[in-house]
Amino acid sequence: MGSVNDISKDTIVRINNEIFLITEFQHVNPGKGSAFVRTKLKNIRTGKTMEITFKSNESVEFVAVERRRMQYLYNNGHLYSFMDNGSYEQIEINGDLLEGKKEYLKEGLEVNVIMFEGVPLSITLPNKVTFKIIDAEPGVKGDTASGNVTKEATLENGTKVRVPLFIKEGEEIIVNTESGDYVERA
Amino acid sequence: MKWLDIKNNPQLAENLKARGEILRLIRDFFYQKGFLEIDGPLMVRYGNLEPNLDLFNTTLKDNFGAEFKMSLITSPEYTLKKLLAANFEKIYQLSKCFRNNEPWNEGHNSEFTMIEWYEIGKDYTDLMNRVEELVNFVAKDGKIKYQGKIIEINKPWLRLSMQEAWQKYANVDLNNFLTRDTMRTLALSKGYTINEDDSFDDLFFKIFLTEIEPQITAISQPVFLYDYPVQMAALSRVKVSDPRYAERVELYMGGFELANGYSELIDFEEQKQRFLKDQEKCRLWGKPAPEIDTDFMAALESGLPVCAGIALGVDRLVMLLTNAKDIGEVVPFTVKDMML
Repeated sequence: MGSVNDISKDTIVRINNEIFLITEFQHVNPGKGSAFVRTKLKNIRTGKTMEITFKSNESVEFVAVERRRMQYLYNNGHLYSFMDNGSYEQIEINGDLLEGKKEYLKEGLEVNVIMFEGVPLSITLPNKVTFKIIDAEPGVKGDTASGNVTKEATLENGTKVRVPLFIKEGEEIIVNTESGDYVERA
Repeated sequence: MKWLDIKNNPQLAENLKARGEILRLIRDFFYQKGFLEIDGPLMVRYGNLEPNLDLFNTTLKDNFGAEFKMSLITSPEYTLKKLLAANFEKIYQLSKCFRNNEPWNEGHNSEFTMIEWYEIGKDYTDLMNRVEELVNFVAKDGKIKYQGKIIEINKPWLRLSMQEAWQKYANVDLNNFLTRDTMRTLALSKGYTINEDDSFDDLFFKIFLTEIEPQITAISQPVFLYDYPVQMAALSRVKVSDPRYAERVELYMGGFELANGYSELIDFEEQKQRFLKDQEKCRLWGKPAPEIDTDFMAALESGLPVCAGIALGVDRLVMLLTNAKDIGEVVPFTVKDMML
């Protein structure tokens, strides 16, 4: 058992005899209320997503999972392929399970694949990943009044991120894979 | 270093200027409406008794070495109500409030600024009108552009009772689930986790925060949510026409909980019972129970006029008006900034 306070993305829990992967969570403190954690969970057996709010000090059953270091190879439509560099074993994960993560994959990136009873469920990305910028609007001066001190840029894998005005096409930048935010020049 | 960010990022400097201007406009508004600004104590002998909030406690020493336990206010409520008992009629405090053990995230700082006001002879409906007036006065434009959404504050704001909100968004008739047992059965049937010590409020919030609140915060108009189940009355008076509910109102705007107000409870006996219950709750949760403010109780016993009061989070209002995503963008130095 563990406390809801300790859950994070990719925690696997057992509720009413079903296994769930936590895909999103958010601490909420309603006015005049105790502290709660709002979560989105994916039922491993049915693939269905549900939303549930827990009290933050509630106990839940954490399920032990295996984490395997693997390298991302490529995607073929919905299926994303990863390889174990030791055994050369390859596995595929459905893109639905990689929502918010597949956007930060690039060929050769090492990730941790989360396995439960031999089945890959999700991955954890390195916190910071370096990407090459393949397209960026030219920097526009001014317009600071609206808070717009960033511009859109496209990463080598096609994902779009906001970057500071001084970043140019061809440069390499570091992106925070949790928030999707620009961190710094690589 | 935050000061360097402020020096180099014109947006942060603009936000701080906007904050100063907003504070001035709030004071202008209340001055024009005939309110008196009260500059009440932030460090008090009796901290606010709210089981869900944690006080900042400190020790005061006098020059003879005597020690007194003091707390920082989580709201100036007791001070302002004592002054209502002393015949003040329209008063406000615009000051810092402090809450310990709160997250340091986009919408929270352990020290924050609140505008809290009271008016005698009014109820929570009048408060809703006053809030609309205030925000329109401060925003000037009739529109707030926040995070890609337009909030049309010059059009009528949405007013929903809790019962209407549960019906509309969760398809549940709240009237049938107003006890701990019935709420527990409902939560269980919906697949929520249930614990032995879950109170009515806890079960209510599990469903509300999952099924109702996200839909309310997604509405681009400001929403007043009013008539809370009586268990969640806090310091509001029970509705005369329906004692299952209390005259409490919360304002949701731009995804934030922006204000919380009441037709104030003025009944001495009822207040005493609620405070005793709150102290009991603290003990049950294993945290120190603040003592009851005897001066406040004496003021209530002497007779408080019918009145209404509300507190509005100024940092969040500034965030809305400057299109800032994080409270750190509108406060010079948050506690988080100081720890880095």
